[in-house]
Amino acid sequence: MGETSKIEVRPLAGHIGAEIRRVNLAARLDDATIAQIRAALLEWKVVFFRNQNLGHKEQIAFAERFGELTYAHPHEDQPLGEFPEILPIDSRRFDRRYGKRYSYENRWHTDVTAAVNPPAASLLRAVTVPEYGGDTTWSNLVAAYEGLSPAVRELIDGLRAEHRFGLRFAAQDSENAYLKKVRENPLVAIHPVVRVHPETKERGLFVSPGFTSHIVGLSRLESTRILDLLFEQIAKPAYTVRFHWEPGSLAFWDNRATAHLGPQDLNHLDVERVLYRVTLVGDIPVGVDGVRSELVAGEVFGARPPERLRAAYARPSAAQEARP
Amino acid sequence: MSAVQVRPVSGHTGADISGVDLRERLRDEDVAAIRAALLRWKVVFFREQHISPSEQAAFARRFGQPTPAHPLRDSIEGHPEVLPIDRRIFDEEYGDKTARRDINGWHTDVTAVINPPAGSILRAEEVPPYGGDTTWTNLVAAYQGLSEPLQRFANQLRAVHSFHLPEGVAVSSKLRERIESKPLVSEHPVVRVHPETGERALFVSPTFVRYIVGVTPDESQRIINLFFQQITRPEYTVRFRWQKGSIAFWDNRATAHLGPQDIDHLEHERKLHRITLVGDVPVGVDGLPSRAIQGEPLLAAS
Repeated sequence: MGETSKIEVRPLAGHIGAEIRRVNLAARLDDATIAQIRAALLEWKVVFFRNQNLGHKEQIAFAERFGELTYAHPHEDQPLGEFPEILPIDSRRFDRRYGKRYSYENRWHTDVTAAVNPPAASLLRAVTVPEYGGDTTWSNLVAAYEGLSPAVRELIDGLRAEHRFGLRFAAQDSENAYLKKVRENPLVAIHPVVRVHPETKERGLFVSPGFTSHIVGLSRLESTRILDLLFEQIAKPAYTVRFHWEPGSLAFWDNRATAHLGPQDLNHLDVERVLYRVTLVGDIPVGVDGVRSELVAGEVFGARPPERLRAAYARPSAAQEARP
Repeated sequence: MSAVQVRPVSGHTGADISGVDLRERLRDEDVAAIRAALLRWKVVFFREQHISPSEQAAFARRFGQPTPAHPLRDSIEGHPEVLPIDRRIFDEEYGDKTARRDINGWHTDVTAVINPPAGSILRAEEVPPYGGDTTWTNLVAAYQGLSEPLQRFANQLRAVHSFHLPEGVAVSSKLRERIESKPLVSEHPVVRVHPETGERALFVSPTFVRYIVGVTPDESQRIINLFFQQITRPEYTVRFRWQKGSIAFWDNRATAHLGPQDIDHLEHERKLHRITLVGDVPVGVDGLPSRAIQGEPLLAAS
């Protein structure tokens, strides 16, 4: 049978983030331990583990204890052959494929909200990280919602917003290979601005600058002003926690109740940064009024890649990556 | 039959009125026709009306009771209901030109009192040969132009208005003393139901609004910016070029306006006379009236 333990949960900030200690994620954990981790995740929205000795296989095995995994990403067409669930967040790979960058999205965002069913959670594991710099920050979208005044909450409870990949890129980026891919396979969904969490029933803001294009049914001016207000709200330091990565760190976030901001301070540094992400298949968000999100373009983001990606995910990748 | 002719001058706001001579006592049907045009077009313009302050006051009295010139400013000599709008006086009060620009933004007249004037009648005595236009905006059209969710949101909000000087603005000590010795602060609904037309107006007066009640300062700033941007959209506005003898008469319950922005570098005189009519206490969509926080209502001039 599995390893039985009483984990230690140490909150890291007033509203969000806890470090979980006294657990070895490479081991087969018992259900009670998994339940404790899930409870900590629901309460603290993002939990961190340090000094874990995981490979892709172990990361996947741990993640599967919490739900079904998605394939890597709707715009990832060169997955790691043997591990189609793994999305590399790899600066070397970005360099080769798209030019220098350290993450897919460098604004505040919630993962893959352009899909009608954004992932329920993401688990990101650090392998190679710079000694300094490269932190990730998460924000608690439930606390951010609760921090709004009643009048503003009432306004947004009934609103819906469009989310899409490839927003707000300047015209000079038109030759960028990644963006080209995004344009050719549009992924668009309409979500409630306020999402009711399916497990906790808490209300959370569900908009972010990375993917939210506009609020439906408002003029563009109104939409811009209201979104600016909400974007400012989710980015308030009060609702955030900032995490410095080390090799062996793993962050596990509730993607239904958080947004996060990738590294902002590496562009002047020439460093390698390699992390691997897996995501849990998410359900379709539901608003305060009970209305569900709508798919506008693209496919549901599930365990199986859609037809257009089937071939890429079927064969062991020709461009298979070195892996730890 | 009224001899009054009404010619609209923009899609939402403003109409030229001709066929009347304001030196003479207006017939009742002419008064009714002017009032109807005012309610419909929110600001009406008369040209070539070379009348005295007394004649202007007599005209004003056909539409309501004139207030004293201003709660904080001096009237012209001998006419306690007539406020001089004179760039030389402003230059002296405000000390420098940037101060005037900071203070002289979009506003609805005297919304710091619980019962802002119902209407304002402004007559040009001396105007520059070019520059010095005034622009009005239709607050009813601006409200109607909001999306339905934002209309509903605005319907329940209230805002605090006051006479105040923006941070760091240098003005004469006399003006500062008056403002400080007679604080005027009122809370008005953000959406005002017009007492005559029943129309809803976005009653935010940028120069005087301090904050939205019951929301955080950050939210207030964002929401105010949205509303200010809405009311100043060009489609709701009309811009009027003054001549000597021009009169603008606006419904102060349904408009905001912007004084001249382009004369600071010019030396020409610009003198106008304003008379305001006693207004009622605004009422919101929920039927709640405005509330005075500091200061007295602006009642009829004795």
